Amino acid sequence: MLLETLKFEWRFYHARHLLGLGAFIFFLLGFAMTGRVGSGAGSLLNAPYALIPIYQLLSLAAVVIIAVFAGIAVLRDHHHDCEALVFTTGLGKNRFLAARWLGLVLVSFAVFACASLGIMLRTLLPHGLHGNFAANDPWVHGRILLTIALPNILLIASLLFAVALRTRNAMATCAAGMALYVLYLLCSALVGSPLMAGEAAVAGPDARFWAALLDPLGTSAFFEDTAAWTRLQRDSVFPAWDGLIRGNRLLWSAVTALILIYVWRTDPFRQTASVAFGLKRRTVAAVQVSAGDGLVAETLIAETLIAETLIAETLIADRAAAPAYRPLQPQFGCSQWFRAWLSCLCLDALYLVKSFPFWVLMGLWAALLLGEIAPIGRPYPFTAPSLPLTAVVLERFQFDLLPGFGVFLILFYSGDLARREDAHPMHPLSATTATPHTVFFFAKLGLLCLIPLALITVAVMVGVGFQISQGWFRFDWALYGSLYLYGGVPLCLAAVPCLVLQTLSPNKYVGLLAAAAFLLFFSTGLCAMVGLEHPMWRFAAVPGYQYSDMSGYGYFPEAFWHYTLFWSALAGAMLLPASALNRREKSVPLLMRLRALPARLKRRERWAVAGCLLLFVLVGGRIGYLTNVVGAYRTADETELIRVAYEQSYRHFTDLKQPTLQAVKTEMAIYPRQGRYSLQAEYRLTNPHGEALSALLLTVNPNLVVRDLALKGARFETDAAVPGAYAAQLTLPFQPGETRVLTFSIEHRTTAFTRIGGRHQVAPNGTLIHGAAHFPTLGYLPDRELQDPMRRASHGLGDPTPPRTAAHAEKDPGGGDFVQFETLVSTSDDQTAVAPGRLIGHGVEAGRAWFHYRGEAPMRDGVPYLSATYAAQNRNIAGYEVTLLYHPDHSFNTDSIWEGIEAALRYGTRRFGPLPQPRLRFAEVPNTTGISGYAGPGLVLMGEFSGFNHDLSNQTGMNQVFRRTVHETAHQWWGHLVAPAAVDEGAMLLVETLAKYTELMLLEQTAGIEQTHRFVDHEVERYFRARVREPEMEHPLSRVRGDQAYVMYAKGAAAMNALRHRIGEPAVNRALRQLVGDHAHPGPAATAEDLIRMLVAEAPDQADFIREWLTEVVFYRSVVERVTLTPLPDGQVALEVICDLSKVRHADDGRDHETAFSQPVTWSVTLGEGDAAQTMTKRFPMQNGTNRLGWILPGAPTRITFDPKRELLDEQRHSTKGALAKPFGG
Amino acid sequence: MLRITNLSKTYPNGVKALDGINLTLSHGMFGLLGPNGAGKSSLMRTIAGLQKPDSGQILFNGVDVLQQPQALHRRLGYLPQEFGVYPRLSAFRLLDHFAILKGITHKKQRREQVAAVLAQTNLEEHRHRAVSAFSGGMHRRFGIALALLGDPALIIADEPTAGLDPGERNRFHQLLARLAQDRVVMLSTHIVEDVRDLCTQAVVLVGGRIRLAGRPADLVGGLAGRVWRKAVSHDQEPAMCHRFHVISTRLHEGRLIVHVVAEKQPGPGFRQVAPDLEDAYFHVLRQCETTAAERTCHVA
Repeated sequence: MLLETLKFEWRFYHARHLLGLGAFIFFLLGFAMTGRVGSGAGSLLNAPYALIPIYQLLSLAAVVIIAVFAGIAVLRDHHHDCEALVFTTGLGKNRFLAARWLGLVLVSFAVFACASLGIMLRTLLPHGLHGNFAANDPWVHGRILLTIALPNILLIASLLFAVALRTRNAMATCAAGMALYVLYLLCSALVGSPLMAGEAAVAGPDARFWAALLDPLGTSAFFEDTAAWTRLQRDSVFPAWDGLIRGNRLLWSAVTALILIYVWRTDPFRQTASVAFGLKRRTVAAVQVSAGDGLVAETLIAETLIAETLIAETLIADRAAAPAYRPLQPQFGCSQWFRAWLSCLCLDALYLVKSFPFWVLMGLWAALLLGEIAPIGRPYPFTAPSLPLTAVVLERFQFDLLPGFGVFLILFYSGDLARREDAHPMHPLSATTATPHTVFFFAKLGLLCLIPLALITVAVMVGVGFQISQGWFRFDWALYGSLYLYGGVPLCLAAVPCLVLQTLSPNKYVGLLAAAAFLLFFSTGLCAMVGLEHPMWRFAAVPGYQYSDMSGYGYFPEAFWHYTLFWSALAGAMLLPASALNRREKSVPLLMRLRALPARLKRRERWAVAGCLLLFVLVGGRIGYLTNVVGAYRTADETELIRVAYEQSYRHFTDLKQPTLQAVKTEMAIYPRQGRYSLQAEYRLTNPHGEALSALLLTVNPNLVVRDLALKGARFETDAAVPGAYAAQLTLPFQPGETRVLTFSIEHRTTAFTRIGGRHQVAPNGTLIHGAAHFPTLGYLPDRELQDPMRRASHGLGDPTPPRTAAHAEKDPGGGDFVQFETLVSTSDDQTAVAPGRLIGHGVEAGRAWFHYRGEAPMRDGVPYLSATYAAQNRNIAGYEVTLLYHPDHSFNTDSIWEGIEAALRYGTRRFGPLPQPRLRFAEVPNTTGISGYAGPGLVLMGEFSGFNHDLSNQTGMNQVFRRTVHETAHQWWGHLVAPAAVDEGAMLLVETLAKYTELMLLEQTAGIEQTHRFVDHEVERYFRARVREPEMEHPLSRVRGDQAYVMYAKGAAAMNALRHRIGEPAVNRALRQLVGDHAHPGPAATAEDLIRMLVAEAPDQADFIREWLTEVVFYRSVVERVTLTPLPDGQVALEVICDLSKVRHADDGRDHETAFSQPVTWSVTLGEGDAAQTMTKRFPMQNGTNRLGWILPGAPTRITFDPKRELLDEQRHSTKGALAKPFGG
Repeated sequence: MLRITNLSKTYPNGVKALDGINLTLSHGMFGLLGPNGAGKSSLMRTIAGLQKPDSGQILFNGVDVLQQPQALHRRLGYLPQEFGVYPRLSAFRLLDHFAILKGITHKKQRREQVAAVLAQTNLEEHRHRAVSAFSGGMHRRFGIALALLGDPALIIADEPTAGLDPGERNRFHQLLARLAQDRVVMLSTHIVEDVRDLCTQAVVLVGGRIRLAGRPADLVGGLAGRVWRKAVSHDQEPAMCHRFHVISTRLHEGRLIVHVVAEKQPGPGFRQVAPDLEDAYFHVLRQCETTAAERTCHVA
């Protein structure tokens, strides 16, 4: 019998086209997500590690479809007015609930499983993905479906089923789905799920543990359990059923069971929806009245009956006293239409705000916002919280959360609103008034537009509340107000297709799924997968939506208004016909309605549609012009082809020597209001080689056009297929030692329509034009080559240009590219233009401010130009003239910045030697540049949210702004005074790792050794979390690649800390001073080997130790098995520690191998507490395997520490520390 | 004045709801009688502009309302057979809303008229109560209040007394009768008594066609002296139906009363009675059934 009922359920969903539509959507989702989410870089894209997050994310998407199905499963009797029929049959409660619930699970799972087909099909079509696929293994998919997807579906289905049963309300069901979504997001953010783009692990281990356990979809548990997985594991291992994954699954399975038990025990079976939902109503009597052709159960309130009796008795008296009825002549026209629209809107809004689910959803939204915003004020380890500026608060949700949540809500409410007539059939009443139906239709649209308004208002309230809670009362109301425009309007536009599709669809749920599919495809970038990647395909989205306190929304408003007009015109063209289709005869099939559409549209409506379409085309044409022509837009394929053509045409230049740059002289005119700059430049070139040069290649950003190129004896040629490359055969060979002058000009306009030239652009206030991104470079640039091996193979390209190693550097040191620099830079008269060098003149002419800078010593090429309204502070520190330039409203942390500058300059000058240029500028740049800190020659840039706006009031012993300032200042030695050789491997050891060392030393001076060690522990944890995500081979510090930040920064800090302890700070500093002495310009460029040699020279007995840290990838795993304290008769205490230790080497095969070792390791014990604490250290010989250590102590220790100075790179240090830190009483 | 000419409507499922309807209505109460599925609601929905006919014309005060529905909607009060309202909204709020939709934009006047229609329908006491919590009778009265808003020249009431208790029904009739004094009130029902008591004009609609039309008193004229009555047992009923032209059977004090149409006394025990509207109505129905049966036999 149950089987028959299930069959009926299946047929029911099938007949409503929901199965097919849902299956198609999940097929597409599976197809689209494959290779885009979940996979670690370089891993197999369909390995279990990559597939599980896809299925987990699909579970999140399944919330939508299960909410729809749950609504049908529970509410269909109510919606179709057949409750009385169903509940008066012999159907029992158990069978009813079982059939509906099982039917729900069955169809949900069937639809979900279609994603597997999409995933498997995607793996057969690898075009466009950067990665590899293994052969499809259906068993892997089946296992994931059963162990990951099914429990999620059971949970979601049970929860939504229960809510639908208890409330009989579709929006309440939606709210429950939203609650799951919020919980998932919060947990993912806490764990630092890779699925949350750009999130780092922000919480401590305890919070991560709970987040992993409480994540309803299991994503956080999965990522927490596999955080340390190597690439090999990611490619081949299926996660074991243990750890947090098991805990999470068991917990939520139990929750599912509890929900079901609750449903079975409490469901008020056989009560109609009105009764079930109105449990709080004062139901005092139930009678049956005859109505029409049948019996309908109806609850009447006794009070009503009493009232009606009284009415009957006093009818005559009442009528005598009643106001006289007088007909009123109606008035129609625009005024009445507006009033009617307003009245409908108010009525719908009243209905909305009186509904309980609406407030639940608003509550969820507020909770989600709080979860997102609260971390701003939380002092996580070694990351200072931000000041709760309005821009910082908004940044947490403005660009992703608000659009996502808003669309989700609009989607659901569009279904509810468009079909409200079905639930409360007022249509015959309103349709027989003389108010045009368009008014009703647009009132619904108006209500949908109120939803973003409500969301934004709640967001503003939460934001302001948070600021107040942080003691911050400087609210930027204008910025909050801008949310309504820039955040609200796109959401209002998104409401249009939702409403239109609801109008066209045969029922609410088909409309819901169709609208979801539309928005998912056209608003999330999925359309790019089928080649629709132009921004004009992204419905209601505007490119370049970002905000900076310095430059506001930049030029975004121009793009915003264009796109808003563009999409509004399309929306208008859709709305009017949809409004006509929606009129009165809803029961008529869509095709017939469409056929009759031309006749239904009135003349003025037809003109309006035509006008909208014309506007759409005209504005679209202008956007296309601004994007494609002015903005030089290119598709990904076009960009790829340019790379291929560049390599094919110019790779032979790698073998051709090129002249070097000696001096750069520029005239840079920046026009912030117009968003453009004009550059006239002069390069003085020389031939340092021993042979004449016959060919020259200039490479520049392909989106920039270099004009007026002129060089004696050269005629530059360009190839339309390779924009940005200018090659010249020199008719007059460039003789050795000869100097020639190359001149050129560049005109560039920054536009919000595309982001050419990277993120460094002209801005209304906060221009940053980086020479490296905007100026031509001499010679062939291997980094322009296509890197993905599969894509290279598809274009018939062989191996890419091999990286330059130390061997290359010995043959051709190059590097440095020190030049004499001079520039005349002008800007609007209310701004200051900044460039490196000494300011030798400035003034204002014809409304333009000009500044003349000249370098006082040769500096590395690639200087930044800035222009903004700055406040300035000047100081003389250790003989340097230092200027601090900052946004006038961002003076919060200038004292800390000064402290950092002073400490670094004094330490560096004393320990490493003086800088050649006596001038240094620090300038704030907008966060939209993407810069947190960048050290140019004599000009250090700091991002507005990366120092200037940190909240330093709640620091735990470490001033982050100070630390960051020290780091950037240190680059004046490490990167500028000592320039690394032009190698692709190992250069960053001399730049970032040595800056990190300087940072550590000054941290120790100011915060103490304990704090420094905690910081090193933090860096070690970062290293181990990041190394497992290495897409290629992990390199040692001596060969670190430019993209291996976790090596150069995190491991670099640990290495320099270990060296500083093992060979001593003075010895390290002597080596570094030696490095400066030997390799500062005009000396030869330095290599990693130069540094290692000098360090070894300072401590020859530690040569192995130094080389292990710097030239190998080696780490240790220590596990303390047991600690025993035995009191001795003489009052002493015998300490015994059993510790497993292993040494691991990362080999060339890409795997970690345990390796033999035997060496002394330091242990320390602390006796006593507080000021009376006494620390003893001792070195014990240790080797691979289990080590048993014994130590007679004068008393019971309060702390035992393995390797207290962090001389070993210990993967397990975090867990070991916890075990040993606990008090060890007698 | 409402003039309907050759109005026909066939639904997509093949059901012919209206078949060449011709009607002319002027002031007064107009009754539409017919069994379920006769086309009463279809006719009313078509006049109200809720659905378009396949053919025919509807003129309201000389204006073709199929071409210009607004012309009718400005003067229409429509009480559908079933309607819903948003929950948790008061009667006053909803009436105010519908008054705006009906073009009453002047706030003070609108408030006054809303108060007046509430009073007319005896809902004044309940004006702040949610309409969704009204009883069946109050709900229907609220519908009439809605229909009265503005200046309706034509009120269409589809089965207005369905589900009402006798007291409510009586009050309702009085209200409708008063309203019909200076406007057209079209009333559909399958309760013959309602038409007899209220209407000055009536038609009997069966199978989408008008089978009988005129003043209620005139409708029975054709049966004068031809209606016979007899009390029979239940066992005798089949034989009676077989032998005579039985137009109706009804129970009276537990006994079956049979009405038969015959030119002369059909048999012993039959007593001639004066025909009433119900006899006329059932006679038409019976004739239609007979015609349909004959047509079926002919086709077979």
